[in-house]
Amino acid sequence: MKRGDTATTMTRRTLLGAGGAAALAGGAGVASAQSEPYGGWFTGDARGGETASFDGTVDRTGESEVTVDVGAPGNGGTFAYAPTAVRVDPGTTVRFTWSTDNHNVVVESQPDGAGWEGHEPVENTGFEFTHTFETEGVYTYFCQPHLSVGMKGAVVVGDADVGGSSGGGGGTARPDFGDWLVQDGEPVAGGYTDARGQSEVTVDVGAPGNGGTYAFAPANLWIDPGTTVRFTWSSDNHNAVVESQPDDAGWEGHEPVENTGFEFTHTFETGGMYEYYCQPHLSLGMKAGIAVGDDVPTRQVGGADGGDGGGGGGPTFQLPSNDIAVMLPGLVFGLGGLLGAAILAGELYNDRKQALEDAPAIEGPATEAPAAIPTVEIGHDEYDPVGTAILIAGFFLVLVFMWIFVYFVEFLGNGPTIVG
Amino acid sequence: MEIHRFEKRWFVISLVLIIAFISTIVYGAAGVGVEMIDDDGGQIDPSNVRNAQGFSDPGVHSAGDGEYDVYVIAYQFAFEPGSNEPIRVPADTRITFHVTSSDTVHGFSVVGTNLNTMVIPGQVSEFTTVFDEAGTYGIVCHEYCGAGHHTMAGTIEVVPADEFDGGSNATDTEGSN
Repeated sequence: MKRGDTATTMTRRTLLGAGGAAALAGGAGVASAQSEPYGGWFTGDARGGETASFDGTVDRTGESEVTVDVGAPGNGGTFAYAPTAVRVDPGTTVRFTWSTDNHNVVVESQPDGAGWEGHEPVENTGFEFTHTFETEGVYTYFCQPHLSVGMKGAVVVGDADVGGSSGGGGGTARPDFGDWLVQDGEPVAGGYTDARGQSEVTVDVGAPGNGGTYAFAPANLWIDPGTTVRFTWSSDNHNAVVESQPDDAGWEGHEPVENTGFEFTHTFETGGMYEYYCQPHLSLGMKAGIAVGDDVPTRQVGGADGGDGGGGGGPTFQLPSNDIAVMLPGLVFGLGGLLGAAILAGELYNDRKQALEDAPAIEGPATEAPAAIPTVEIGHDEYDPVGTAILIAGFFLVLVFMWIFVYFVEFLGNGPTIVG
Repeated sequence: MEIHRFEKRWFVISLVLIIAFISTIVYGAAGVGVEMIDDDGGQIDPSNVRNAQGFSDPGVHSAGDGEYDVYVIAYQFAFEPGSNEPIRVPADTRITFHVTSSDTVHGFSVVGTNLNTMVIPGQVSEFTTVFDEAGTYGIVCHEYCGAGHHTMAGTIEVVPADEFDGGSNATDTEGSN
């Protein structure tokens, strides 16, 4: 019974969080859970928050032991499993290693016949445990203290299909810029384009994303050597500063800050990884990378549309405008208030106008009027401001009442109280 | 200087009111025994909370003389114990809470009561209380502590003193209700 009470309390708070996450997901136009990899386990539609650290399934097949970092940076803190989703061969031993405090591993789902128990006690830095995954299939798990911020993970054993638009089998390869295209644990906006085979490509500088028009689109671009990239400014106050490039490449970027309509081109001849950013908006995640040639580090992504933010910004704020029941009272009270204020203002204006008209016209040059002579003079003790006295007595009564209510009823009556 | 008799009266009433206000506070402190939370809990190394006195085994422990100590560690985003398992304490007994944080600033607020404190890394927030009635109380974190702050909550189960099965630890007694 008491446990039931607890559940009710938790549900209310959890529901608020889940509702908000669902609304955000809806606003951002996330596809339905069925087309998401892992049945939507890493979206905000599943239990807990959206898993921002999920960026495709990392293929670690062919290794006999794989390490998963528990409490890696991500999901708005050190609340990620790294890799978040990993594919291993049957019989692979996975070592879960705690790199920060207060995490556990709770199994959400696993294939029939698998008996993985995870590790439910909350553990701290340095703790580790291993499990050898024999049964093929998809295992999902989460960290109970940080489920609400999306600390979720998955292990895929064997050739199991993880779902998603491109199906399983490791998905497609794309250039891996490591942490460069990550800002505060979230992939930067801008999306990914594979432009190999094209002779000229355009990068939109100042595209929508990263909380404004602070994205390079695409943020992750893959081209052949010899491709000309045209950087086109679509909003103001951006530049392109080179962070890193291959040793013998001489790209200088474009450091002066330019405005809408500006453009410059560069032909990338040297193969390798180029990283650049916009200096004014670096802190917002306006970063991008260009991979030239086929000899670049890559990683596998599960879904064709998963990964690098897909060009959108972060979660979009959603007005509750879809809910007419929420909007209508606000509208009625708002308009009513405005109308009331307008009527009051009109009356005040008329009164004032009347008073001005009724006032005797001033003739001649303005002079200081002499003080009016009182008709009756009364002595000091004859003056009885009874009305004022009653008003003040009333204030005192209210004060006493409020004090008694606040101290004795609201405070002392609200025990238990700290007594030591 | 002549002061009007009305003014003299409400001047006197004001003074009486101030004296009354002060005496209610004195009554609260001396009569009821209301106390403020201070730094009596002492300081510990926030990066090594689990080796600190009492916090190596968070939970309910007997302090002798029929009193109990409750050690609680707050972290993002849970109370231990409290969130995963309720803190079980006896009614009509002096309970001293020792709460600390192993990461960031949290709050420890027992909903609907006067029990609440900030939980600061490195500082042990210590307060004593008596639960007069058995029942279930909710704990919430009332200092914003991160993205999952809204889910950070826990439970205190107050059981009648004669049903309380010793002050070992909330973990050991769970399920015996």
